[in-house]
Amino acid sequence: MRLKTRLLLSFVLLALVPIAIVLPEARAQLRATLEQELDKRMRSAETATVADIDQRKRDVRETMDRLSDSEAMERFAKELHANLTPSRLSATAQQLIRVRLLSVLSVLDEKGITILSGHLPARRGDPDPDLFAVTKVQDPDPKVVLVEVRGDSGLKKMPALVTARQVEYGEMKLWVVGGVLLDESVAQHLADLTGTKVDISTPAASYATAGKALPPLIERQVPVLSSEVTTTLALSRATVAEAERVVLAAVLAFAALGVFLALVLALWQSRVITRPVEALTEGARRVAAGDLGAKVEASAQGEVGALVETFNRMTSDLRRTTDNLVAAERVAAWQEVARRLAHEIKNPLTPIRMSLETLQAASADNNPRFPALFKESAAVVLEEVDRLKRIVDEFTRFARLPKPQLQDLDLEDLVKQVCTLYAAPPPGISLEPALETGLHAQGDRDQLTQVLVNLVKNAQEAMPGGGKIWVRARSRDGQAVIEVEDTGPGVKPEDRTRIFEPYFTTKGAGTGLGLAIAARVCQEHGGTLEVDGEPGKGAIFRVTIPRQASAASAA
Amino acid sequence: MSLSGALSREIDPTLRSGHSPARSAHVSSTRSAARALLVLSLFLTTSDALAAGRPRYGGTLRVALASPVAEADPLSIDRPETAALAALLAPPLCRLDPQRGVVPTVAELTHPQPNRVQLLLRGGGPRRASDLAARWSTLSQPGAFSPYRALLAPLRGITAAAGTIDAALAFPWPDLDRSLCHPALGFTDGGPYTAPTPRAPYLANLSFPEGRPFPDRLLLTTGDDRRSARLFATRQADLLFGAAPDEAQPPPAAPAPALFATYLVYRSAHAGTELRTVLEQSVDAQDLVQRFVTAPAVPMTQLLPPALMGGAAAPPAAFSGPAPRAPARELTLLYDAALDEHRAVAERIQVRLHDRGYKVALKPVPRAELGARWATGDFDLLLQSLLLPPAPAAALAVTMELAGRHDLLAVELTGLGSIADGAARDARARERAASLRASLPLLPLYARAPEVSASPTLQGLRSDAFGLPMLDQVFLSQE
Repeated sequence: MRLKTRLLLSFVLLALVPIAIVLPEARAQLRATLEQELDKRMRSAETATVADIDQRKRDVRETMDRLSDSEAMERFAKELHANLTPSRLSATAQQLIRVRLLSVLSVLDEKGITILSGHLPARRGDPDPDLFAVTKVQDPDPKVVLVEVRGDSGLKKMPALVTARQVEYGEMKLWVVGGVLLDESVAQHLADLTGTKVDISTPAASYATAGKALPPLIERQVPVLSSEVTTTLALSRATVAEAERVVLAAVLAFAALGVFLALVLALWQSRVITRPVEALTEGARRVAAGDLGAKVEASAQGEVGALVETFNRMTSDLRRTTDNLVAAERVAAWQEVARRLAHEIKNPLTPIRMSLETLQAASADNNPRFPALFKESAAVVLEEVDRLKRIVDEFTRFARLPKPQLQDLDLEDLVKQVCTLYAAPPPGISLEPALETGLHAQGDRDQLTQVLVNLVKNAQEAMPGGGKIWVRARSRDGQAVIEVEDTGPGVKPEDRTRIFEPYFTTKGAGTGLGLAIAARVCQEHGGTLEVDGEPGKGAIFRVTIPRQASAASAA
Repeated sequence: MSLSGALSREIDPTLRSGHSPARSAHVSSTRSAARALLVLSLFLTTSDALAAGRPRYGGTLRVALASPVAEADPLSIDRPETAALAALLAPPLCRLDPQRGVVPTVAELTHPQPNRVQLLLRGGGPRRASDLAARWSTLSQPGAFSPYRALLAPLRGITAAAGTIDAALAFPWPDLDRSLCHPALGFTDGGPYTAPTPRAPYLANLSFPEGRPFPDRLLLTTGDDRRSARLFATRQADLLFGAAPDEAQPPPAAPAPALFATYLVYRSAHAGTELRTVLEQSVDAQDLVQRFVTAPAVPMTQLLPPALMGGAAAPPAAFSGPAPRAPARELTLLYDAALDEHRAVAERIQVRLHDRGYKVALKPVPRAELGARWATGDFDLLLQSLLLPPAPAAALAVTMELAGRHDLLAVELTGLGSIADGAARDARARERAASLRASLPLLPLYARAPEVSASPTLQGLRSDAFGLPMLDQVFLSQE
């Protein structure tokens, strides 16, 4: 992962982690607080409901107490006793209901037969066991009873708070049962009072519902009516969820803003930090590519600035040192070449001198074998002179290696041509080419041919008892690779560093310049010559040249 | 008007009967001598005693009505009081007097041929005849919402020309005379009174063919039962309609027949086949009359009111105790929104059917809508009240029409009309009523007579054969 990416991530994490740690806790706290508020509201609603119902019970009780003792009731009983027309009595009952604000009023005889009903006049003459049961209760407080009333689609039962009072007129004993219906208006009043959804119901049916509360709900049954008829208050948890959602959204929005700002800061800072580092990286790459004097021009502070300064100083030193080293190596190389050349030259000079000294001695002695000695010595001298000439020619060729004339080469064709030179290898040796078709590279045909010929010749000479030679040509990473592999003894590890030096040889004969020239050619092409393979299992010489002309080869 | 004129009206009521001019001339000449003798005898009588019972013109007849009258259309008779008041503005063609029978008032029926009838209109020209003919034709259309069209069932090809109406008889129908006296078949205006504006007092029509009424004006005051009764009790009204007076009144010598019948009509296709049985078992007409009908009423156990059934034995009431609850059915019961009485009856029926497992929704509707829905059959249950004619055969026709069995009219009426003897025909009509009771989709409930109370200041109050008070005959005493 790149440094810039790591810096960006670090900044972002720095912004996110605190939020991620704090947010759940804050959310839990918020939820708890809101739940507490909700619970408080519900308790308040319960209290208000109980108070309202109790007030209604008191109102009904007081109203019925007043009604039973009122002149209107006495007049009513009198009219009843006088057997007045039902319409008159019904009108009286209706009037009593309206005046007393009662929604339930029935007059029953001692057997529970309805004499009159204000809330359901059509029940006259029928028994009403539900209301008659109220007359059996000693407690004067109103009780909850299911009362039959008329609805839009027929009769229905509705809960009502009713109480009974006995009225006597002469011998006539009546029960007046009255109260208020617990209907939609009551539910609506409670809903308005408490701000909840109110449902007055039994387990079997719901009788009145008012108010709204969206699910999810928190419900509470208020035990203020009876064991059968209950008032259920419901509050919506949606407000809690909504509040939580709003707060969470706000927090997330701020978190997103924070992350965004952190990201912007991170981008800026990472840029500030990584630019000199990237410049250093580029500088190091240039140095690795050979530009030893590469300088990094980047403004930086602190440690990075010190690093840039140190790098620049280092490359300056490196260039200077390299130049010195190169000069020293050049001197050393020439010294080595001179030493080897002197050694090579000295070797033929000794037989030449000895031959000439022999001739001098023979001449001085008038040795009768002088002509034969002269002939023999002359042959030795000429051989050694030829040898010297070869040494000089190879050296000259090594020293004056011409710049490669680059052209587009079909390496398959090139290698095939080299292989044809060895179409009749020595007995026991097989030459197997493995060539990639269409492999082209920029190169000097003659020089590369010389390289391959040298490598194949070396492979043959390394296997006097026979063996196999593979010649491969392929492309790899934009470069052309030609390998010559043999099944000979291989190259010892200690020789691998010197094998490409001039005049280094492991063979008994040879100038030791073949591989040095081959390496020089590869270098001139901008490529390399390497040796590989396990000792004892053969050697692999690998020529790698760019498929396109490089700056080094162009230079 | 002079005393002789007043006495003429008193002595010779036929002068107001609307007989033909020729006949009137003959009668008047024959009785002129008697009149003179009577005038002399009357002069010898104490004037005070005479003055007390003598009808006089003038004055304002004050009528207290227990509930408002929506409109005076005779076809929309919702209560007997409405019919009585409607007759003041829109008179029936004839009067059906309990003693005298058919008395022509604004029209006289003749039979120029055995199978043709002709109605001679008095006091009106071709326009009145064509108006009446058009009204009858409209009434006879299938879409018309009045069961009274059954009364015109025997007539065919009704035409109007030159103040007469001609029609053919599809079959013999001796009760046609009595049927045509029904208020529903009369004119829509031209009565003994006129009403310049809907709320204005009625004014005496001086050109009424039968003669102007005695009071100059008729003042209607509407209110609830108590208020109307209070007005009557405090002598602020001469006549109390539709409510019982505060003080007990002596029963009339000849109580009016209860011919205003109320039925519960149902549609079997909507209500189900078992509903008839449930209705018979749960709706107690006696219970309705005793507890829920405010006006004096009699329960109906037969298809026709007791006044028409002549005391025929009623089938035993099928109240055999609580019936098993039927599967829940939902029905709608329509009733006249303007009638408290119907509301109370409807509520009672609702309660009784509820106990049998029926869910009945009550729907009060305007009378016009009630009639329209009856005509189209768009109802489950419907409360309807009718003023039945005082002839069993004609009443049976109206009842069959109410039940939606117009198809039965031709069959039944042909059979009944073929009986020339009135008593035999009435008996046969009663038999048919008893037989059809269970098959017609309606349940008879109760019948009412008009609830009328008159103050001592009001004289000459009598009822016609329909049980309706003849308000155009009354007069105010001088006291």
